[in-house]
Amino acid sequence: MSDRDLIVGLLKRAERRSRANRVLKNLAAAASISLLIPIAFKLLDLVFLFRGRTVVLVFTIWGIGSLAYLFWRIRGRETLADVAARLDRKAELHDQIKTAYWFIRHPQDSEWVAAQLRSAAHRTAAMDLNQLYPRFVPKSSYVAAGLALLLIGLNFAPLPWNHNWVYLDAAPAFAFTDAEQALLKEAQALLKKAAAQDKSQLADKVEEIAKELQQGDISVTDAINQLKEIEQELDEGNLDLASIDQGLEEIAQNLGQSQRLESVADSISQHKLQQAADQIRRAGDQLQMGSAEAKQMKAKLQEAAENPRPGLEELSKDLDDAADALNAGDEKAVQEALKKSAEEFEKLAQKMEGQQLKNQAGQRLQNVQASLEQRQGGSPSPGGQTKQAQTQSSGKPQQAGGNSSQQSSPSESADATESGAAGENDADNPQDGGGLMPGARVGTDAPLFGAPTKLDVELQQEQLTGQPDGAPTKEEKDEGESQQARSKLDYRNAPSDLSPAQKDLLNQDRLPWEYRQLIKQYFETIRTQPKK
Amino acid sequence: MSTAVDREIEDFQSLFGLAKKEVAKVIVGYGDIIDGVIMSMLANGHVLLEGVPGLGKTRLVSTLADVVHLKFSRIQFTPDLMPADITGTNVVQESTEGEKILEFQPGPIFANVVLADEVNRATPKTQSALLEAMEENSVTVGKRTYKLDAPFFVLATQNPLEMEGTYPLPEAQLDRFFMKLRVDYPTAEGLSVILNRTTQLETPKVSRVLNGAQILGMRKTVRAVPIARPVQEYAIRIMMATHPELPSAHALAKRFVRCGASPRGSQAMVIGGKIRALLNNRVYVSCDDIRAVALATLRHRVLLNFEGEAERIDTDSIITAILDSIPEPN
Repeated sequence: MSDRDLIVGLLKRAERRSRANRVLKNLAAAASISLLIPIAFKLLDLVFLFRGRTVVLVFTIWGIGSLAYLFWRIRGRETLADVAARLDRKAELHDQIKTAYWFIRHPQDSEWVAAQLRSAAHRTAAMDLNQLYPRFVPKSSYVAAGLALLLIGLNFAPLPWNHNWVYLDAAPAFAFTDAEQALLKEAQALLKKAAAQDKSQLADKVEEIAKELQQGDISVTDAINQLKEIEQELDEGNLDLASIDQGLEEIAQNLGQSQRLESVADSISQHKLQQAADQIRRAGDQLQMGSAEAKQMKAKLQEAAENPRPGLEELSKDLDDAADALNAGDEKAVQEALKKSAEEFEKLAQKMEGQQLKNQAGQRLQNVQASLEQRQGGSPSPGGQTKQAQTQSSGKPQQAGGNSSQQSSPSESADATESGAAGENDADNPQDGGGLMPGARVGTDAPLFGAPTKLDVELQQEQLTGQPDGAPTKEEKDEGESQQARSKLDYRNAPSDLSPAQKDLLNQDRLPWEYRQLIKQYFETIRTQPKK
Repeated sequence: MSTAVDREIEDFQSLFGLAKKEVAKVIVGYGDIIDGVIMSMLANGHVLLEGVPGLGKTRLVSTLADVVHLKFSRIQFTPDLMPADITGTNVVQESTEGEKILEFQPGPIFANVVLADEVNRATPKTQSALLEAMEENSVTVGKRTYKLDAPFFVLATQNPLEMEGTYPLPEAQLDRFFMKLRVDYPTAEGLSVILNRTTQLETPKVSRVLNGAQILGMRKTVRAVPIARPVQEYAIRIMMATHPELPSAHALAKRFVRCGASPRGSQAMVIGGKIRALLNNRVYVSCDDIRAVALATLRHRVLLNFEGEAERIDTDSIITAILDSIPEPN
């Protein structure tokens, strides 16, 4: 290897080493400086809860900026002349390498120049690059590592509102409260259960709406509207449960007069339709044609089949067929007709169960919707409240077409509307009702169900039996006042239009605000009725 | 390193060392001054020694003259000294045939080593008699030019300008000196040695260790030392920084300098750098070499303006500031 090659080779190696050290140093410095930004951003996130898009945007800008800064720091490349000068300074060579490199680039036919190159080459051969350019870990890299750990640590800070960016988790565009999440989960579970019967995809839709709302793809208003659409879908094709209940009750009354079908009637009355189906099958199997019992059974079946209620036409027809078969003395036809009746009972049981699930799901979605409306800054929509009131009171809106006793009275509807309108006042005074306030972080309070019910109950003055002089003792006075202040009617005994299933449904709910409608109905019941 | 180059450097260092050693037998201390004087001689330049009377300037030069095997002459500059007293003059002579002819009578300038003692005591007109000799190594008298024998080396001493009866050297004269060396008072230890050497019966004797051929050979060696362009440009930048009219001038130069160093200044820096490189066993000139000789080679070439004179600015401070401000080339 020539002297020139030796010198140039050393310079190139030194340049690479120098560049590597410089890049490492600048990288660490750039990292330690630029990491301050995401740390500050993370600290702000603990206060302001940035959305995922914001986080991604900031990190993208930060990444680009950091890369640009790093590129700016490490841009350029030292020339070999620069490296030679640096080597001279480091090794105190009095410009030997620098001069040699200059003579390499500007060759001269001189014995002295050759001697200079030889001397420089001899010197470079003895040089230890590791000593001149030692590999080192820059101090700023420790700072950068510390800051990176701090950033990661902040993500794992055990704060309820902290979002871990390491797991790509950022604050959603919209955060459901715990209560709303619970309601949504329940609604989805109920819809999935109902979907086993009607194969609907409503549970997925609800999940999708919640997801889109959380991601900011849709606004709260859109979500409310979509929830309303789902509620409408749930309402479509609803059974007239009240009418069916009434019809079943009538059938049970008729069948209960038959000795053979008494157990069936009891099961129907108790809404145990599956059990009723089994019992009516057994009744058909055990029936002795021509007996008095059969005649009685025929008459009651015929009565039960008369005037079928909507939704019970098939059942009435099967019962009628059974009566006809009994009349004809065709045992086989009787059994066949009763089996069909049993199947109809089973179908009815399934339909009613599905309907109940949907109603429950719809009710939870309405609650979510009301909560969202309230958080949006307004009050639950009057229409929604009216519908809610109707649903709460009768189980379904279509119930108005059924028994007149179960119809929502105009005053009731008006009250419901009024309560919805009054809800706006509630929004103005969010301290009332304990509902979710706009901007509330965690949903520990229940959403409002409209305005509080106005009580216009007039206390009934009771005459107290006291001492002859008419002056009551202190105990009597206290007791009397206590009695006057207390209603004599327990709310559990208040007459209700709700079916047992609906009452049962209400009782199953553990959330206190679920009782509000029942309590409201109680007060409506004890309200002084206007004189006709 | 090739043998020839190696040998040349060794010879150079050896002869330089011998000469310095012999001078040092008589001159105590002043190592840098001795180096500067010998360097100027080897650079084919002349040296101006400045110092108050009694510091051994003349003795230094006479000792050097003793060390080199060359013709030596001394000119004591006085206010009434005439140029012809230096260069020589044509005198009327009678030939053997009885004919009257003009014959040139060489002055003391016709020597190898000329001591111009207290050169600033003569008038500028007389001082200027040295100009041609110092630059062109020749003397013109009448219509005839006489070549001086090589090597020709002028060592001038001068008293500080503040002293009575001195005439400042003309700029052209100053520029012809390779170096201006300042002779300061010796240290106490040096003074003690001086007393020991000069107040006893025995006086140190010096040997002649350098002859003219050797000096010329050494001069050739100096010129052979290569210098890289960046180092050369470094010397140029230093020189340019002394010019107040140039954008690259140093702030101090712009304020206090009337006239910057001439190209001879940069030549002197490079030649001085080469000698220093050889003395340091190097075959190339470094920026350190340039810096080391910058003060001695530039201080008399940088002329102060009125403000500089009034402020009593030392040109050394300006040159030092320039050296500090100009980075080494990569």
